[in-house]
Amino acid sequence: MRWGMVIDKLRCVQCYSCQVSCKQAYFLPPGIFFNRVATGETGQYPMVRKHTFPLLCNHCTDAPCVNVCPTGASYQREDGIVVIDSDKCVGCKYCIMACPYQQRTSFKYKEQYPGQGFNNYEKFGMEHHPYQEGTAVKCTFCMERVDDGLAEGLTPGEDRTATPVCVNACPAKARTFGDMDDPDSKIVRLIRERNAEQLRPDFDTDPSVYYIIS
Amino acid sequence: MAKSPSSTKAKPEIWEDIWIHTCCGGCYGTCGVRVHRVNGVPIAIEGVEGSTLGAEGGLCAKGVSQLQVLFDPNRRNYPLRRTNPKKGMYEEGNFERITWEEAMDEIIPRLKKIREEDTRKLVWMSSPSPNAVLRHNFLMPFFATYGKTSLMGGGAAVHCGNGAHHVTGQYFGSWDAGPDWKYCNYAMFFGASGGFGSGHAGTMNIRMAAEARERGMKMVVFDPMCNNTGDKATEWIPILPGTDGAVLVAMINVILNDLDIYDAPYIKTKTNGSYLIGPDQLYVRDPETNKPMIWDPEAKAAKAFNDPTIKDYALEGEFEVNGVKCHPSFELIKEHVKTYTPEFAEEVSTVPAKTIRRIAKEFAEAAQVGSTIMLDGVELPFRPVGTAIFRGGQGHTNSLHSVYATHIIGQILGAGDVPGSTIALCPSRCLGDPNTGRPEVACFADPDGMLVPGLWSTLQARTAEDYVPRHAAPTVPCVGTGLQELFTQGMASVFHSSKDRHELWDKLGVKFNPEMMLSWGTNNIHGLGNPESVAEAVAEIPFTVCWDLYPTELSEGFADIVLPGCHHLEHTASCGDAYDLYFNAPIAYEDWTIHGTQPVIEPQFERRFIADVLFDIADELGMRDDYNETLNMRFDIKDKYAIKKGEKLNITEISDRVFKCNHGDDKGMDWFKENGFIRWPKKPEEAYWRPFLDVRVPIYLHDLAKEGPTIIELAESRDVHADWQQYTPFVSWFPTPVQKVPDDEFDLICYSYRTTLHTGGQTHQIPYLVEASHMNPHIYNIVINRDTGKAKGFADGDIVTIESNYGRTTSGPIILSDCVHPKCIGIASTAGHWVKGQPIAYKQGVHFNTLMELDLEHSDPVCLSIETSAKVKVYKNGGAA
Repeated sequence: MRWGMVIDKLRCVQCYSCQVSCKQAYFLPPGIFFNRVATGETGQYPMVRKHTFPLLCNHCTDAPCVNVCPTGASYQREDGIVVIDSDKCVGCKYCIMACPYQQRTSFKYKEQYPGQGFNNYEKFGMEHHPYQEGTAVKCTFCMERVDDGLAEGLTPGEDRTATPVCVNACPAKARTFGDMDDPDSKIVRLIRERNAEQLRPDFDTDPSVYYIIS
Repeated sequence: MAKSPSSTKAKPEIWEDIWIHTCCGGCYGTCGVRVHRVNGVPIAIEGVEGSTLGAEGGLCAKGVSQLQVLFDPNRRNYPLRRTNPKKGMYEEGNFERITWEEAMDEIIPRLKKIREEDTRKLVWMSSPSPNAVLRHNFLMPFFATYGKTSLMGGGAAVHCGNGAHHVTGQYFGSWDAGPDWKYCNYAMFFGASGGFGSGHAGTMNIRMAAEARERGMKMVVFDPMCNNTGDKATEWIPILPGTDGAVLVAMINVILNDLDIYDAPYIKTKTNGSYLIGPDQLYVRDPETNKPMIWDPEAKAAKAFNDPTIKDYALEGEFEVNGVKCHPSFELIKEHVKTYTPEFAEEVSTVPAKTIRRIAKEFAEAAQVGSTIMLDGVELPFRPVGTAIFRGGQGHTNSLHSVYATHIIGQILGAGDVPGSTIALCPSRCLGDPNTGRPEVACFADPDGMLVPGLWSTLQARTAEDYVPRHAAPTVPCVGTGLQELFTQGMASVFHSSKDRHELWDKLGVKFNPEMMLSWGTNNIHGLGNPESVAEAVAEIPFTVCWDLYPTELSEGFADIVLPGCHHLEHTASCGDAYDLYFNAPIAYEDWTIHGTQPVIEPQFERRFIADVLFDIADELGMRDDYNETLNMRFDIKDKYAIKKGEKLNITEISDRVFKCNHGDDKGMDWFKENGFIRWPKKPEEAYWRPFLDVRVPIYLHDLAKEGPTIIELAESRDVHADWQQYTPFVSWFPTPVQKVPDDEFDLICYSYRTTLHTGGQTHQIPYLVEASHMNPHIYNIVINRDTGKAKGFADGDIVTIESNYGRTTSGPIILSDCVHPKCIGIASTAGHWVKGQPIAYKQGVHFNTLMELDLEHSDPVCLSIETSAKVKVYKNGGAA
């Protein structure tokens, strides 16, 4: 079993719901993202397009972040999800430097309304979902949802509570999550039939996130 | 290790972990949502799987981030009274905290006095902006009960849809219209973004448009900018603002006169194309019945359009009826549009003539005129072509004609409310919950056979039997400051606060000045245009009350009393806007879904939901029984459920009766609180209602021919002048004031555009959205064409000033882009707040609206839509280029 995600760029309308839903679900302060939407332009007037790439941790099969971690805090589970154990992380930031996709951040609490204190939502997050400042953080493919779902007999990617928040949140249904080791899974079919591509395969890390480009 | 919210379940300190159903109030889409509340704290919002009122579980970023509005520390918490006697755009209120009783003591006597003297002295503003929409069904009946008041546009009204809503009401019986994503094969968009992040039925459209793209639907987007809609298009065609109508009428010309493609049976029976027009440009009428007449070529006789003996309808030919020579209107239209050649359209729009011819041909051929499709056992016409226009295409002084052109091009091909065509958003026919037959809605025909929208939440006629014309004949003197007694086709008016308001009021006989203004969640100082003119107008009103979530340019600068409003997650449980099917409902051939709303958290501090307070005010004014009766009418609460005289029900109790009346005694408010929504299948006859309802649409603009001469005569006799030629019954294109400004000094056209992250001006105070906006170069920067910018010596990040030919300026960082027409410059959204009470929004982005002028010259003389582009020059800060 290896979890992966396909993002259909034809469906994506650059609404940022993935980015914002993820921030809300994980109580992420300003400046920290597990999901990001990168935008720009390609082409020249009038043969031009906006350029949109929803980005998240690629949960690479050969993950540079895991390879450089001196404490074993960054590790890869058997299901392919790359995880950071913040109790073991010493905040050396090697992984942040090593990630070619720039998907890791050193955590720091910040008020959503600068200078106005933490509100009840932020306080709830600090109490019930605390982060250790200075440690590296990133997307976990919502592994607790996946694990809890599997324990309840659900299928991640099909059953909502077992599926990553960003997949559920997308109003354009641009995201598909599933088991890339299952040849009959929707995700494998999409990769095969729609010629989905990994981002910057030249980095040679074999990402678990694919994009439908055309 | 950080855990996701699902990991709270097993923790002993978690005493509550629930999901609560309600509706989003982040925009007018009112999607169904679920809110995750743990230990009394709402911690997440998401869409509702299984609800078609939204994205089937998805939700846009604006909706998700409404939790931040709920917790915003800058929210208004208590009633406030102004202590700074000076009012102005940049003044601060210096408010003192007062009690609700003190606030009501300020408000009630004034409302009583005005009601006794002249209710038109009360101006009120509301809007479908964030956190406002869910209360409309209680506000509208309140003011209808109070008396005839003046409704002022808060910003959204005259900007976005005066032309679009007017025409889609006439053509589709709906607030808006767009392609049928399920079956459309070829769509054309004109300055519209429905389906691409914003616009009506926002997330429903996003979901369904994505499916259409995957299915292979071709989409052509005419827009000055390759924005999100253009980006997703098969073809983006750059066009100058305000010239969409020229391209459209030229395409109609190509289709009718070069290609000779049209759907004759549809035009004969579903439009007024077969109606005979006399030399006075009016319908030739049956002397006995006064019905418009058609020519039956088989009987070789003129007959009333609804004569059951009609065998066929002539669409061309000259006939003599009632002693006058006449022609079917279709023939006259066909002849009229010949003046709009593709070459003419190219000259004004910059769209190449050969492109116009090609697109027109592709569109007409894709319509597959004559084809049919079987849906669930029902055979229906199949016309898989659709069009959409909104703010960008219609926010101009030629608004009404541009929107007519957008939909006439489909109507001549029979592409209206059938599978694949342009369809009503939302469907204009609902046969009701199968268990009760309610709500039952259908368009009906007026005495001339023309479509009248079927409404449910309404104080107007629901059926043809109760029909009365929805506006009176034009008259002067005008009695309201909006001057809509003269401009009868104007939905919302700019003349309450336009630069020329006093001159127009004097000339047109308005005898009073407004004495009091009530604003519910609006901010016209920032959101309308020419803020100096609006500020003067608001300052002239002696007493202003603002009901706000947080400070705005309006309330800080002008409010005498500020009342603390409720966020939509604090609202009292109600049926909300569930039955406003004309405005918002599941679109196309998707199941019906009706949601209830309920609070997920009790209102904090002394915030109150306006709809609750309206009952207190009604009691004080002695109009509670009348208000109740109006609510009975608005919601069609009948029989044992009707609110009785003397009954004092709260909103939840009234909503309980509405739900039970519509869905049965077992489906009251408690059921909706627990289950969230009710869903039932939509029939093909509902989604694609056009073949089943005997109504017609005016491709010949008879109303303009009928009322125009009177309006023009009344206005001119009082020295009021405008572009009166727009009162023509023939769909046309007229240059805007922007097109008339020479290029020598003011060489660019500045337009504003929507982003997926913002609705109106309030969303710029939401940290998640502002953070994302800064990650997108097209949101908080001024955007200019790369070559144009280089020629002016600009580089990315330069701070520039844009100056309109009206003399006002705005300023901000510029970026060079290939996504913009070389003669244009763009500014996103309603940004650039200056009120300090919104510290997140403060000075984020660029304020576009200041560039716009507000007066009759810059308004569509028929529908009163304002010109939302401006001729400008741009230079680096520090001196002119």
